[in-house]
Amino acid sequence: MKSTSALIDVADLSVRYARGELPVLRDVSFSMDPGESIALVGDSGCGKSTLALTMMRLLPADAMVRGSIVLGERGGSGPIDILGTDERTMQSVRGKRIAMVFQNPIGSLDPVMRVGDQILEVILAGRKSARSATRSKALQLLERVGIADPSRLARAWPHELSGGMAQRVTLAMALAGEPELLIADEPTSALDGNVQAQIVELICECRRDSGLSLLLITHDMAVADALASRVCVMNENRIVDDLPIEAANASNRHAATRRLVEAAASKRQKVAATMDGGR
Amino acid sequence: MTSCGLDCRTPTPHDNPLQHRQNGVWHYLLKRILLTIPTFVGIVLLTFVVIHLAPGSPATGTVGGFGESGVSAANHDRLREHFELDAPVTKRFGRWIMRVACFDFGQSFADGQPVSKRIIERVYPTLILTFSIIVIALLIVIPVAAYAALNAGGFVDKVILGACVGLYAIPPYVFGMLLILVVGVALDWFPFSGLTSEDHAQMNGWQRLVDLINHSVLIGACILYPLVAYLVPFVRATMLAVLKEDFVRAAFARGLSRRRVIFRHVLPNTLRPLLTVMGLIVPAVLGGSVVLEVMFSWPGMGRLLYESILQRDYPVIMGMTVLSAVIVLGVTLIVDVLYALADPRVRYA
Repeated sequence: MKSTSALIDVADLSVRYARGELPVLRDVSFSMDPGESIALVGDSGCGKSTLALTMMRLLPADAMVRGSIVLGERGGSGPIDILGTDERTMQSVRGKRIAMVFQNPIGSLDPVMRVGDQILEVILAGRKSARSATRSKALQLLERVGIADPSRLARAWPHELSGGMAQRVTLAMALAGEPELLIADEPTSALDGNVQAQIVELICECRRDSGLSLLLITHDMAVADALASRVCVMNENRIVDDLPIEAANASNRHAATRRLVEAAASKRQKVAATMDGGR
Repeated sequence: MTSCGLDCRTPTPHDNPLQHRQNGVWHYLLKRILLTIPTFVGIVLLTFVVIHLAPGSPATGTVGGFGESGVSAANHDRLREHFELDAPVTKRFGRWIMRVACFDFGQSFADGQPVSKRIIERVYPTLILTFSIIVIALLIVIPVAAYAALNAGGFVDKVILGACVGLYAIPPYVFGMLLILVVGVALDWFPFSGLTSEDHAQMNGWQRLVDLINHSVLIGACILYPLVAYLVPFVRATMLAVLKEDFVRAAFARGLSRRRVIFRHVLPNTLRPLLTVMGLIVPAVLGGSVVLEVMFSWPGMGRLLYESILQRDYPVIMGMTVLSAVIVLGVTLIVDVLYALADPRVRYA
């Protein structure tokens, strides 16, 4: 435990699977301050999602984890050693201190349960409160993520939602436990362009309202630019660069960082060119 | 037989599904009922043709369709006339279907009793046995399969799977013989013939029930074990697939307890495919009961069908066919409706 003031401190984290040859994470270390927003960028398969799941302790049973993850103290409770603590404590961490939003918003909702019931379930998890109070809290949450007619949406089934709507719902569920840290794993990758912008804007708003810290996993530097103040670049299962977002454009960076920055730049140019051509 | 209903299960996207919710279930139900009618007519027509094509005739003797007939030529013609077998098949089918429309299934060629009376006294035992065994099977299968899935790859899981494969490989008539010889004859624990003891009439209500159950234990075991051995690996595999779904991981990530995730999210999603399979299992069990009921001299539908076929007792065979078709189509319909209730995505198809 380096500093007790950190929100979360990951040190020398390595993960490998019992049946796999190669490690999926190698000596990953980074630390987040309260309120900070970090983008974790890198090519697909470089271990970004594994890192997120390890931080929630949601890896499959055959994963072998070394290193340490320490969640800082809050409200009288001391620091929590995520990898060493018991399952009951983890339940009170998941959703309540660290929440997570996934890439496939519709797939992360149970297809045979109404949207409203799923939100209620999350609000009620590990808590005893009146049903009616919970209901109005669920509607408030839906309103907060920009849903115009919350009571109608609460009666809908997940398959009736568009991707953007579903991502708003999962965001509402993530906010239900008033977490300190939101891990967003490719929250916009499965969405249409204009919906992507809306979700990015929404995450920005939530951060402004509640001082939420954000660990954004993405391979899109444009999204990272919009949401994060710091970038951790992952390449081949380790963190190769950890720097303020403005510095990512400098030329003396790691090859993987340069590649991602160039990819984002060429995408911007292409979009601009297409728009010019259309006029 | 269910193929005509299959495309009803493929969901299609809707422009604004929130608008279509109200009539979804009723619309779906009506469509399913209407689809049942041509299926029913097809089954009845096919059976009528097949049974009249089969060699032998009720007029050549009351038992057995093959070999020398002990009936003289004159009697043979009289019998043909009596059973209305001299008319062309098409005409006979026409007459028969008209009578069936008025719920008149005719009289048995074998003993002259009304077909409906003969069938009804044989239906209860088989239906009660079949459905109790299915319920018992589910009560065994769901917890066992869930345990195996949640401990997949472990020792107990391997033992369960191995036992299922082994049991499923034993044909019920072999297993039935073993039960009769070991449990019935050698150990003398349960009766293995008939449905009632000789002194059944003198018993009081409770004793009668115990007597009936005693007589059903061995045949019930023969129906039960292949069902369990078939369903446990199926439910286990379905549950393993559900456990890998994104929404299960997401539910854990939202801080729900393991128990809650399994009972509220994993199990409901596991049981939906099981519902479909149940619709296919009912006809299989009813069909399998023919062999087992003959083996255990058990007076049910299966044995009645067997006897009627040997005697070429056309009216009883056709009556049994209509009844089986109604039962199977009814079960399929119930399964489809339950499926629509269990899965909102099916309703708007």
